[in-house]
Amino acid sequence: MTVGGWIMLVLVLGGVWGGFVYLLARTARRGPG
Amino acid sequence: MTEQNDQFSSRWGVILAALGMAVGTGNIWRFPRVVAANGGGAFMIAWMVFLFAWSAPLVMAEFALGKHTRRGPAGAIGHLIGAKYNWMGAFVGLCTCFIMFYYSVVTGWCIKYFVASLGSGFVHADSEAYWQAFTTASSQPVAFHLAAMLIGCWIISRGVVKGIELTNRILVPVLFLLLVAAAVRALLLPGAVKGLAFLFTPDWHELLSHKVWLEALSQSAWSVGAAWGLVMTYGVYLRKKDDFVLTSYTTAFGDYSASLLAGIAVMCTVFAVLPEADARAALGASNEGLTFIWLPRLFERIPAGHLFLALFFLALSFAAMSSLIAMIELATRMAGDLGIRRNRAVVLVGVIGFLLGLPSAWKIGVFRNQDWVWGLGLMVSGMLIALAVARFGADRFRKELINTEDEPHPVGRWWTLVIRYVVPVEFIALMIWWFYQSAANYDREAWWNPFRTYSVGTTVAQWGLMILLLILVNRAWAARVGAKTKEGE
Repeated sequence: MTVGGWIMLVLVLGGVWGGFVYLLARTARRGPG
Repeated sequence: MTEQNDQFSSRWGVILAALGMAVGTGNIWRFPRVVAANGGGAFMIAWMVFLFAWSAPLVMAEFALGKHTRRGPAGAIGHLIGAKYNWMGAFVGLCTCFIMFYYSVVTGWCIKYFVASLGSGFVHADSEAYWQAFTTASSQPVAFHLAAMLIGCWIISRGVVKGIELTNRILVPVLFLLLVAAAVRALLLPGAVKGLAFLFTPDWHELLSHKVWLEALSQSAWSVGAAWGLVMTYGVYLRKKDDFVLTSYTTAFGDYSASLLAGIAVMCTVFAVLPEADARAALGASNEGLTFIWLPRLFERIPAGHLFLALFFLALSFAAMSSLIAMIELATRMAGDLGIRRNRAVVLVGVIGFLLGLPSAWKIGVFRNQDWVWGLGLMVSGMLIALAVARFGADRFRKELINTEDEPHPVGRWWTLVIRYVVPVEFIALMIWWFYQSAANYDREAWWNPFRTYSVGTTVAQWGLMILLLILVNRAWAARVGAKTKEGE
């Protein structure tokens, strides 16, 4: 895989999965509601 | 219109229900093919843009409409902007009902393949002959369609907390675990990196292709579930104190995460097992072809493939069922808004859903036609929701219905701009592109013919017929759901 491919992989997976985990953590911090 | 004991019991209940609604078969069988056909990494950029330029803003609008009006789609828009516009919401709701009719058939296929994959002979069978025999020469699609509809209606009959919420509390975490397991298994195969390269390596020239942008928009809208009316229906069951901006983002990012897991699982398996030419042929097959013909062949060739094939179809069945129950709930809500008691409404939806799904269960051509017509209809639904919000006043909607005192994460003015300007431009561009492609390339001879599977004619005829009927019955329907008779009342 090219360098561009690896960069895209890190950005997309980091952004989407990281974003999802961050949002779940933020929800968890607020309690069950 | 909503009983107090028929509301989601917690924030997590809402999030899991919304995730279950959004993550469906489209994430697993459509996403990998669309990425592969549209420039890999370049497609990812366009796909990310539409997360904020279509899907997330419309999800927020739907939550706000459901929570504010306490009505399903066929009453919410009439209640918001006046009875004469009620048909717009009815179109949104009925479009999803028509998807439900054939989606139940798809759910049946997934359950059938999961059951079959538990048997030892399935992996060694000729997968193409097996699929052909299943879909054309047996009554099994009807039986499994009936089973899917019965399971879905039974869940919905148990109500919001004991039915929808409890089911999604089980299905959604298990579905994500199965997708993670499938992705990890695929990544450990020798040669898996070729699949990653095909998925992520950007072909920058593709970003200049309008096709890539339009495919990314349709994938985002279809996958996240924006403008289906399903979020609007779940919005009805939010408690007054429930906020939904964070939930909307979580739904969209969770759906995208599931797509990426499925993309890695499918692409890495395809490229690890097949030579590149065959891998491209597999990805060039239809959704059904890739899932029900190619993947069983691939799993046959990897260690413990039998087990992972069963887990794959279990994940697909869970994804399909959690989306199907959202559609059944939407139809039940619409019937309830018309004054039909919930238990009767569930039975009515089950009977009508089964009967109107039969043509798709019997004929794959009918299934493909309905998938084309009503899948495309979701773009119309998105436009109608944006128009309704604009008619109410997009900035007023944002300030009064989204950024309420219960909302700790107010959405900015960008939301207003997207709904007022960006969504209409995207819709017009998408429609012109799709119709132009149909008339100029796909079906030059008979693009106007309403009896062709993928023609412009069949799309316009079916949408037109529905809109005409809805306008004819608009006054009576609006009165039954309590829409405002005068604007501003």
